[in-house]
Amino acid sequence: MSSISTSELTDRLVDDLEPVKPIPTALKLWAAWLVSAALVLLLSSLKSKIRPDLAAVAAEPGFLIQSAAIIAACASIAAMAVGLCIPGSRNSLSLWTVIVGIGAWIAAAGYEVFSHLQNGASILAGYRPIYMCSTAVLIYSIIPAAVFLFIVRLSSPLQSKRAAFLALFASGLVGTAALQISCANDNILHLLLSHWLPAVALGVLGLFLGQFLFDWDTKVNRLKERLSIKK
Amino acid sequence: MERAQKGDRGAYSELLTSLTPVIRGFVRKRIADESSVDDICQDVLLSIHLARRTYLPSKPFKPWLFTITRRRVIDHQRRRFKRRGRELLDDGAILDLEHAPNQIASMADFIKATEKLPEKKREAIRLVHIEGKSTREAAELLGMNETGLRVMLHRTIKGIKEQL
Repeated sequence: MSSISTSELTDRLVDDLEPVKPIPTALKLWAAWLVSAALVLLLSSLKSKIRPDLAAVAAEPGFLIQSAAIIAACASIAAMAVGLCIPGSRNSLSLWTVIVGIGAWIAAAGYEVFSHLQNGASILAGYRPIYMCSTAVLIYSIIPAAVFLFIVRLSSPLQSKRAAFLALFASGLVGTAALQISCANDNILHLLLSHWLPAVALGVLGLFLGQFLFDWDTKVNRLKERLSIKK
Repeated sequence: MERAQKGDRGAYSELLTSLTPVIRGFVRKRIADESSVDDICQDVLLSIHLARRTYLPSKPFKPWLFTITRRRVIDHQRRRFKRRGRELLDDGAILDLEHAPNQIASMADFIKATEKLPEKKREAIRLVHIEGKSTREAAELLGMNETGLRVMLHRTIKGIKEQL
């Protein structure tokens, strides 16, 4: 039971009112993040070695589908995260794009595994645990993650854990996308464990960060304290 | 809201006052417990205050408002569900999910056993363990303090368990 009446609360909120500048639209925030992600991709392709067989694999439909799927999933997850940060701006289209993107990647990867098995090769054949790739995914995701956390902080993440999870997962996928053009190892296990897993792990880290940094209940309680409302 | 974002206190006061019955109506449709409606309504007003910079004047106001309201209602229900789970555990976990097949029979015996209890104890058990009210709400309805109610519930349930 609250310690004050609703009309008294209204009066205190009115007294506390300060002018605020509305934040940019969800579309602008999303575009700003995409620009930061694109810059990271560009820098990564300039800085790191491009895979020697890029021209050859770029002609393969499997590679193209996988790359497009990663980019589509990354952009849509980012759109979902931004949508969660601005009340009323969520749309169901992003969710479908994520499902289609990840589904397309799984289908392309599954087709490769199937071809491997049909040729009598094991999917373990080309697998080597390369930690450099996992580290690279995390390094490439630092800037997009920082930009995204700033966006989350700037806005109102009522579902803080989910928003931070999606924000960091999308940032991790920027690293995954960057490795598409620099890592020549197309083994499915390598892609899953060294390219995708770090992105997912980053998302899980987002769950914890969301709880600690952006928890809405904590913000409401702080406001109550400022307005001298007994909890 | 646009004027409130610019610092117009009169407009903000008018807005919050006119929103209060709308929010209350929305919450009341989703929350059966009347005593929580005001709390959630106040929580929504505080959230609106915190989130006011995310309202975009070029966009419609209702989706923004109802997203915040719906979210706070869900958060309240989630908190209540967690608290209720803790209370059941604290009170000796009458309903044990691991032994679900025996649960209905146990519950029936349990309700039968409460019929022999003094009225106040029976009422307390009905409110908390059958109707699902929190101990705080039940204590208010019974006109006693929460700690006293919890102790009474714990002892009564222990007695019933021994009896069963």
